[in-house]
Amino acid sequence: MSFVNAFTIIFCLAGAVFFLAGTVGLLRFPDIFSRLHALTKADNLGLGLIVIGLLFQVDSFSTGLKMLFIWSLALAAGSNACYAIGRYAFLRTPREKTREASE
Amino acid sequence: MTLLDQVFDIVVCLLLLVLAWRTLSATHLYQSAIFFIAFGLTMALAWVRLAAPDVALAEAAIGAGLLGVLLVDSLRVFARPPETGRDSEPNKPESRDNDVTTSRRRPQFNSAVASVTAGAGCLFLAYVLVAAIHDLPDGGGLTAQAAENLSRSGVEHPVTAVLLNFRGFDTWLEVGVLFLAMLGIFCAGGLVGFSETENPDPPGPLLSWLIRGLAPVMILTAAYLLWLGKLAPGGAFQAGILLAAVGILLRLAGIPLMDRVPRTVIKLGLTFGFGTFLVFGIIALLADKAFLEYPSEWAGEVILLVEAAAAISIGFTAFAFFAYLNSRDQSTGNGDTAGQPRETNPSQ
Amino acid sequence: MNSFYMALSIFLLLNIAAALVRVIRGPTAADRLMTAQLFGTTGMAILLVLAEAMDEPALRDVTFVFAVLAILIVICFVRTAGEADASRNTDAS
Repeated sequence: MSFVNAFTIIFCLAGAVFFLAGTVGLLRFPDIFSRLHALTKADNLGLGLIVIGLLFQVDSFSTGLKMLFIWSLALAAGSNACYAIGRYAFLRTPREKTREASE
Repeated sequence: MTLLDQVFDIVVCLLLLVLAWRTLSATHLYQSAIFFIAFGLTMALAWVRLAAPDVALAEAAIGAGLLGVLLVDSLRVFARPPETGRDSEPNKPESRDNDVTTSRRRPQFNSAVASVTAGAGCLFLAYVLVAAIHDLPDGGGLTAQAAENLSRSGVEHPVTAVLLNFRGFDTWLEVGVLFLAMLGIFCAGGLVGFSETENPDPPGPLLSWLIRGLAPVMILTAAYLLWLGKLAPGGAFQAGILLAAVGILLRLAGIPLMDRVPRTVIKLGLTFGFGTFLVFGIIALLADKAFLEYPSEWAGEVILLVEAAAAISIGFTAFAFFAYLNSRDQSTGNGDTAGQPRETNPSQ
Repeated sequence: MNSFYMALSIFLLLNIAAALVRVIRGPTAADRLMTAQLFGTTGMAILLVLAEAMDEPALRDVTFVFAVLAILIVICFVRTAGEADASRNTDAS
């Protein structure tokens, strides 16, 4: 096994760990905000580490650039989605919580 | 094919079955919609494994992008409070909890006739599919012929050569079918004409930033896919869906693209693809050739032109689907209707 | 190396399968939507790994399309389902 392949395996495995963490967090965390937190780990780090791992195998510059661009798109989409869902949930939750408390 | 390849394929198959079953048996509409989106994603993986990246690309654009948005947007109608909902609908969703998810009664096949009919239909379909697989010609049918004539088609990618040159007729009619589907939507609910809908919620700073950043990327990606169709998977349908995504994004941000563009331009855009095919077909006929037969020295350029026209039309049509359904729901949901035809209830 | 890629893909696919439980459990539509988002990202990772394993560069374009369109459904949900939901809350209170 060559030196480059070892790097690929290390980074890809690290990415897989973050995907696992994201899934477990999504399943186990108690409320929507902490689940959102778990989700972004998979979005940003999981995909990112796998992209970095696969970059070691890429033979052309443009292919590598494309993969990095995919990751940056996922980063932009992930952070925006997280903000949007979080805001949506936040605007809804306090009202219900306060109503429950007053009753 | 190693053992791990087989394991992957088996997991994909099992996941597809579970997702299909779950989509149908879900108790919440949102659950059903998300399962269907996941089904589309898994389907894309299945196409990848079947060595059909062209179909996977279409599945990614249509299944994950357009269809998900259409489904989520449609669900808004069911999330409305029940008293303003349409009571005439037999399977009206009832709101059970105070949550966003709306529950519905599980469909029940009490009637034995319905069960037997459905079962027989499924068996017949299974028989037809098995027979079709059995009747597949040896040696890939027309594959050899297509590969032989690839150099005369004007493109290097065999799928594009078949879709746009050898079987251009099919693609022409597909664009026509899409146009008919849009006319059908218009007919079912009355022509709304995309009148201005006040969006009460202006896009936040982050959404504005996202639109400024993402819309150009989408347009560029559409152009890239269109150009790529010449030598690799890509093409008009995928590019068209990406163009539609730009319109959907703008509309969701409260920028009513369809309302600002003159009606004539919309009509032109919707029919542009179908018309371009027709024009080139007639030119071929006038030059004493078969319908849609391109001159081989110009074939590449003609295909690119036709594809671009088709992509624009597909984009307009797919966006019109969304814009129509979106504005319609808004008008019935908020209770303020701008025009007389918009009051028509689709269930009547 | 190829078997490593396939094993990685299978692992990621099993992640998707496990996350399905969250779609069933919910409890809110936002939770389900988040799961769809996770599916999208995991699917993109699988496609990138498969592109390397199957030596099929076209799969990176498929991933690209997924990445470009991933945000659309979330925006659609927040902008449309949010409205209907807000009106419903005012009705309930």
